[in-house]
Amino acid sequence: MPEQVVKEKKLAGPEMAGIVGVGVTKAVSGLSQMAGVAIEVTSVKYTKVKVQEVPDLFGGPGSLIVGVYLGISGTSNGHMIVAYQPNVAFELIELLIGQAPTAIDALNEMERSVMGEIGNVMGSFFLNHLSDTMGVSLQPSPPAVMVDMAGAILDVALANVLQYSDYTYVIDTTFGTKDHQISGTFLVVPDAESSIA
Amino acid sequence: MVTGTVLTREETIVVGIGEIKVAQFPVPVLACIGLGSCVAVCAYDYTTKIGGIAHVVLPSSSGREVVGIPKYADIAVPRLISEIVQKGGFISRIAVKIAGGAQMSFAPGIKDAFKTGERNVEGVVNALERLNVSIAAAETGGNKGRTVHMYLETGKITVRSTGGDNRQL
Repeated sequence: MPEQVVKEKKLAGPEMAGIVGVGVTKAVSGLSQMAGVAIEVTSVKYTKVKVQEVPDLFGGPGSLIVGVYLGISGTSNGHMIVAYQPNVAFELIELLIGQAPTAIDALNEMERSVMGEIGNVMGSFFLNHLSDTMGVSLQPSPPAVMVDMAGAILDVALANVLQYSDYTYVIDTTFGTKDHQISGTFLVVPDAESSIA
Repeated sequence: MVTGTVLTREETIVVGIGEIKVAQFPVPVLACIGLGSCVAVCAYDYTTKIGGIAHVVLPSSSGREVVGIPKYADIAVPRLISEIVQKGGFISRIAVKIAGGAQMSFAPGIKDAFKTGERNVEGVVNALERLNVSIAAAETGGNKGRTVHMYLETGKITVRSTGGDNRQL
């Protein structure tokens, strides 16, 4: 249906690769400012994948990940999940508060809030770039931090994608300080019921 | 029982998001891994040892034509049952158990915006009612992910929540 194609193009599609690439760079620069440490993007891959294969990009549907969820609202509605492998989340937390968590399945309030803030900063920088470039208005919701199986964290976002397509776009990125390589995966999906063509 | 049998990853058939898989013993195991708001509908015929799982993602197709994966409860549930019947199962012998439909813990402000898990469970229950198939056991809701295994030799179904142990359903 042509109407749905237009909706999908709002936030995802092959023509978005350039915008998304710069968006990720901005997101990482936000993290860099927040941490007060130079962090650089080493790679950004923007790929179209089958929805069933998305959990594999996060280490498989059963692997434990730390996911920061942000709802997107404004000109288009959608979902954004920034996910990290547990060891990466450990490094990020250590980078920001100088102390690594003891156990990933029992993040304390401070550690959760650090992960939420990372998601918030990266999401805001990313969406600001999209908004500026595309002349639209996109705002992130407050972050929700989840520690669970990748499949479970991704379900709601993927359920939204599956209402209009069996494929979606995923951003795989690695970034790091000069001592640490950090990798993260961004999933940005437009809402099926999101507004107007 | 499968005790003593070492199950390798290759022997487990994984049912991906939105998919339906039906198999007969000696295929050992079907699995749905990392269910959040999705629901695993597990159907098993104890006589022929034919079982299947539908990994339901959305409650209703709302009459839309569905191509590709059968992700909606109203499409997937009848298809699961009919695939088991086609393989030689018998509808009156099929036992159905369901698991999943969690409400993942999103931020307070956006929690009510999508009750996908709850709606998926409703969609599955409605679809089964239309087929006159009752639910033998269910473990739904909560806010943690689940992994479901179906052992085709016995029909045993186990559910494990994130950070928890396997429980028999």
